[in-house]
Amino acid sequence: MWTYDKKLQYPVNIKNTNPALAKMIISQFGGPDGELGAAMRYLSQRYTMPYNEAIGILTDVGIEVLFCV
Amino acid sequence: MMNKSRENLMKKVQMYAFVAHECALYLDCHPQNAKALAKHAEAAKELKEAVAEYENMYGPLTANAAGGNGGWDWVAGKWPWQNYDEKEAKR
Repeated sequence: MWTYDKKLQYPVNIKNTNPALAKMIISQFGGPDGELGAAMRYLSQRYTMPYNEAIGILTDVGIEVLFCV
Repeated sequence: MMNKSRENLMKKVQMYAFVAHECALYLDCHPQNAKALAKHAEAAKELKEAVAEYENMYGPLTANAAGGNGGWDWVAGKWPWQNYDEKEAKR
């Protein structure tokens, strides 16, 4: 199960915003064929893995994506 | 900008959390690496202290830690993606 830490992973200080780039990044994250979709699949597919290492990898990679949330 | 001490305490938390997490990921593929194990243990310990220090002064970092003061600190105040610019906040 999960906990949420009310903090950013590291400090962020954007001086020059770039909406076009932001649009591209957010669509890579949450859009079609996006990382978020992949993460949900990894986190769901862990349960049928035959090896603990595979469970661990799917868990860790899935979680890593959620760091972007 | 958050006041200096809050910013510094938060940076400490972020720093140790990052180190601990990176070591954990490395150990996924190199579980026997003694140096990584030691570094992880050290970072985890420092992280615990840094979190306690931050929460003591500025409120809970996790929902489970909230409610100590009988208030609504968890939901109150800025969320991480909201800028802490004090001038902005006064508008």
